[in-house]
Amino acid sequence: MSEPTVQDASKTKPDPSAEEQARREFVKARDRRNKMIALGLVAFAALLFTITAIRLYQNTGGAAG
Amino acid sequence: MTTPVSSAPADAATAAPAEWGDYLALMKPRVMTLVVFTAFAGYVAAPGSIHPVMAAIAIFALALGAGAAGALNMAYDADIDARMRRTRKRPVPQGKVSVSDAYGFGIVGAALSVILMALSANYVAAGLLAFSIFFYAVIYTMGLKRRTPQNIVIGGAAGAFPPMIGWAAATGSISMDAVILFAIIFLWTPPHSWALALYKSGDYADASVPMMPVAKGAARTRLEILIYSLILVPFAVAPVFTGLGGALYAVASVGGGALFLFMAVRVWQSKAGEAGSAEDGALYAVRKGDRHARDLFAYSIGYLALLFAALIAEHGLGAHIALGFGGAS
Repeated sequence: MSEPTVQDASKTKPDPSAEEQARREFVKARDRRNKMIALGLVAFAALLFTITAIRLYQNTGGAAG
Repeated sequence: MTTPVSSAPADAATAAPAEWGDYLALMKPRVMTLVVFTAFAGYVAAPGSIHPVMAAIAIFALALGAGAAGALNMAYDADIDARMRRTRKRPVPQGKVSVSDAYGFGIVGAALSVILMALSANYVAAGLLAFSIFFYAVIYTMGLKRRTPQNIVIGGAAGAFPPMIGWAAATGSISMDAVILFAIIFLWTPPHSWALALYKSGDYADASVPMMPVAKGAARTRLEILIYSLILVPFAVAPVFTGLGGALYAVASVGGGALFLFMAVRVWQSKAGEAGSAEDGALYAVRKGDRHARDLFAYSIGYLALLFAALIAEHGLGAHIALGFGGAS
């Protein structure tokens, strides 16, 4: 690959609209991932709640363990 | 912790956060399915039970643990996965998930799975789960896989734990029957893995993984497949004599075992593995001379599924007809 000249560099300057588009897509993907993590945490909390409820029910004689 | 990746694309940070499907692929869903299936069989066959919701959470915890171990394996093996046709499309070598993200996902997943198992079942099951994750990720992946052709023999223990964990989840202890279920998968792993390695040996050689065909040659591998098959098949019939397996299991283990032995003998007599690896990266793609090895690999999955499905049918669906051997469990 040849060394870029000053003129070449100005030609290959990133297109601001493409950069903005890439940034938006990155943020969108990051938000999706954050929502998945949040959902995972809620699911984990729900599982712990369920386990606690069942253990309480069993320990208070509600059902045979 | 150091990573073995130096110049693989996986080394670079991902351009964008991965999609959920990439993380699912990181958990090796096909392996997870077999883990859940065998663990469920162990749970159902055990002489005890826990609340059905707790059992479902325990099985989920096991699936999560298996997936986390798979993620840790893919994180560590990113460099060799990138060199093998069969594995180069995995999310880490593809650059969809970074190595550090895969490690993070694996460690968090492993911790959560053990906590969930302890809370939903008991500490015995949780301890076994923690040990099996450690065994797979550290002993097998980081220790054995790149060092010895016996990697799959010793490492096979990691995949053999699920029915024992299922059993422990139901009873809080481990019995002889649980150990036999462990031994069946432990002895099944070498012929299963080496059958694949025979027709994918070029892949392993490219990645410098000393699988048996690469390190000791195809002929020795075919002989070892036969020897392990000869040990496996009687072991698989053993539950009939302890009372764990009934008539259905007896038919499955004797009939299925006979076919397994027949196929192992065919591999032994063949020239499988002599021609090098199949060009195609697909799991079942094979050269003409390697067909018997490919057939054994495919059948071995069905054979294991058959054994454990028979146990589930007998103990979960009431199809158990005792044959009068051993004590009923």
